[in-house]
Amino acid sequence: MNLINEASPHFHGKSLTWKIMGAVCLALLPTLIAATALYGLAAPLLVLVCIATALVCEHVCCIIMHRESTAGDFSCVVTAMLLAYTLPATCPFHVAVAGTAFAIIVVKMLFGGIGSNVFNPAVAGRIFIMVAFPSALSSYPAVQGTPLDAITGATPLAEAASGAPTASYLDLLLGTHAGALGETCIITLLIGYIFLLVVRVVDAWATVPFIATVALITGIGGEDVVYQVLAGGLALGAFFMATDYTTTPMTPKGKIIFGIGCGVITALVRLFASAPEGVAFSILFMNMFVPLIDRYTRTQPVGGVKNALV
Amino acid sequence: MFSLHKTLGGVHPPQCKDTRDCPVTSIEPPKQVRIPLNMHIGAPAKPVVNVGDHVYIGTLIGDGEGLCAPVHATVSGTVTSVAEETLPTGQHAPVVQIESDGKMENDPALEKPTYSNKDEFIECVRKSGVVGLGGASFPSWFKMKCPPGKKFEFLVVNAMECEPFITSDYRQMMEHAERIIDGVTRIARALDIPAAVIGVEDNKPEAVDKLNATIKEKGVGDLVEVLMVPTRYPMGGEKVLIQTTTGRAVPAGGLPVDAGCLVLNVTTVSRIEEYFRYGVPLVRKTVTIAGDCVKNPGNYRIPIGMSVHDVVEATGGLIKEPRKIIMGGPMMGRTITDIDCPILKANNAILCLEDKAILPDETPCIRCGRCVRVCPLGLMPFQLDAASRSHDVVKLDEYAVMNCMECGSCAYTCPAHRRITASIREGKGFYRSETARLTQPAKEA
Repeated sequence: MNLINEASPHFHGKSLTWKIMGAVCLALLPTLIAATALYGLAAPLLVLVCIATALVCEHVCCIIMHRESTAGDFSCVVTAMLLAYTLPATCPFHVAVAGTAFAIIVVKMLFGGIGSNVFNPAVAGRIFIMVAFPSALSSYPAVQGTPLDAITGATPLAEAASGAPTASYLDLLLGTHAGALGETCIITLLIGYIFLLVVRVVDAWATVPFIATVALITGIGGEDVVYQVLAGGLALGAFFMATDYTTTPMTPKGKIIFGIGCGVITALVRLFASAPEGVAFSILFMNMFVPLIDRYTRTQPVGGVKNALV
Repeated sequence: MFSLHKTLGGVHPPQCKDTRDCPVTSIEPPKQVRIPLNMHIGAPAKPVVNVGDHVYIGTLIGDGEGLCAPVHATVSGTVTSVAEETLPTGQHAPVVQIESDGKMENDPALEKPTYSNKDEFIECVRKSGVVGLGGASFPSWFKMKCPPGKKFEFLVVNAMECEPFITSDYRQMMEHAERIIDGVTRIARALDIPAAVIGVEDNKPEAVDKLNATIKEKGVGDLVEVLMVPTRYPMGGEKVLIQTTTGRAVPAGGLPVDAGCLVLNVTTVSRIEEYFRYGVPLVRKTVTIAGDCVKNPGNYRIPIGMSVHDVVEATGGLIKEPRKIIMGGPMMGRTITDIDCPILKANNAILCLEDKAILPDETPCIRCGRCVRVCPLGLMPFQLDAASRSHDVVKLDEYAVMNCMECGSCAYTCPAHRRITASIREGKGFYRSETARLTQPAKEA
């Protein structure tokens, strides 16, 4: 009899890395459909380009690093989809490829691959594009079906910053305005997020404080609160980026601190900085503090701790 | 007077308790038993018989001083070997081998024990050879000795049986409820413990009804109470059990007595009462034989020291070749690779599994936080896992590695299949030796 000798536990639950990442991809799909309806076939095409780039980069990196390929666990697909969602549908492919390659190779794999990266790769990739290809992000396509003279439009937040918002609240909910391809349709983002909540892949510890803080501070600053919450990348960021496992704190307490920090920075950027949007900056900035937050928001062991060394 | 208190975390593994309606049955006695003398935590017992001696069931074959429990012969026959051996568990201990004469006679010298005070009672429990039968195998008599300045306020009886597959405690409750209640009453009265609670998971309502009916019948409702708790692994973990039933936390590095509790497994109580009634020490154990490879899964009364191979054969054998044989439950049990391994006092299950318990390979930690959420003791398993693997003794200390009871909830829930529990177990060993080295006074030059 050839018996296996192994340490307990001998049973394993149903959760699996690829299933979790796959669930996030599924949750992002409704928004892709909305983006296709809003901005045409350019949107899914751009997403596919990002996904293909991410898969190739991750696989090649794993080969070079002599480790088993993690390309199959869908985590790089999530990164690629999120990055694509922050880009205008008209973004040139070479820009998207460069951004994705930067996200996967530099931000993810060079920091140690899945589970070890300090910064959210999608957010860092988006900021890389902002710095390296500013023109690619300077114009956003208007929604399909609008008159020819409005091929490009200003995003609602840019309009709000200049004092003349044109999009109605309903436009903001449905995404029928100019913007990045995956950030405009709040309804589908919300559907995806609720799905993730229901299957218990993510929680609301960071998301709710993030949105609430933005609403509170921009409200005090005299802005239209509904507008501030629904427009821009807040929903995408709070639902899908502030809930990333690797780059956010572990405990509920830590997540709340993370969410509030993101909210404060987003609101301050929107109110006082020259850029109209601050979600990406805020998440990247707070990513740096995760080890520190984790250190000070540890769980309390039942029965206390009896230290032998300290 | 007992009510449910909140505990942290926990998981819900599939219960697989298909043998719950299988009454305990005896099997064909073995031709030979091999009884290790270290079936308890503490010093191994020293053999008190020699090769060629004739023994009966219940004859003392090993005993020792201090933290130790006596060991008795489990078949009648002749001692054929007494030798130091390496057991499948990796430990070294004397093993007494007895060839059965087939008569299965009880030792005529056995008699009902009597006691008139606490110390005599504890001595009787010592002589019964009973150890923690839930799996911990801590000598029961030693637990009952209350250190000076401390007091037992509660007797907590562990009848949770939260491990999947195992139903031997459940059968004990269904078949011997009266003996259990008598045992609880006897122990509480002998040790002056004012209140006793039997904690049962709510997946065993029949057992709860049975125990409650017996308590009513015997009129000991003011002393003993049954508390039904939600089914969640590891409710039967000692610290979790104490917290659920009394709301108290055992302090880090402390014992249940530091929370005013004496904790005994339900079968332990039943066996102690059996000894006081009939004078027969612990020589047989009810074991759940289960798993997809076993022909006749069920609960069997097995002489201690019978080999796993003989047990499986005597119950009807295997229907397919197992990949893993587990002694104990799938969450905390130990795999064996040698099927001649003997059944020990604290064994409560033998599981022969084909592919159900085969685990996929590890992948990197994604910091999802599931292990932190399910840890019943509020630890951060992923940090302990990382610290164990990098041999970081300071971090192990900081994150309270010694608080871990190795229940396996973290590894069970990990989506990356990391062997968190195994790595923490190693980390504990490393921590123990390293802190001893670091804290010992510097040697004079």
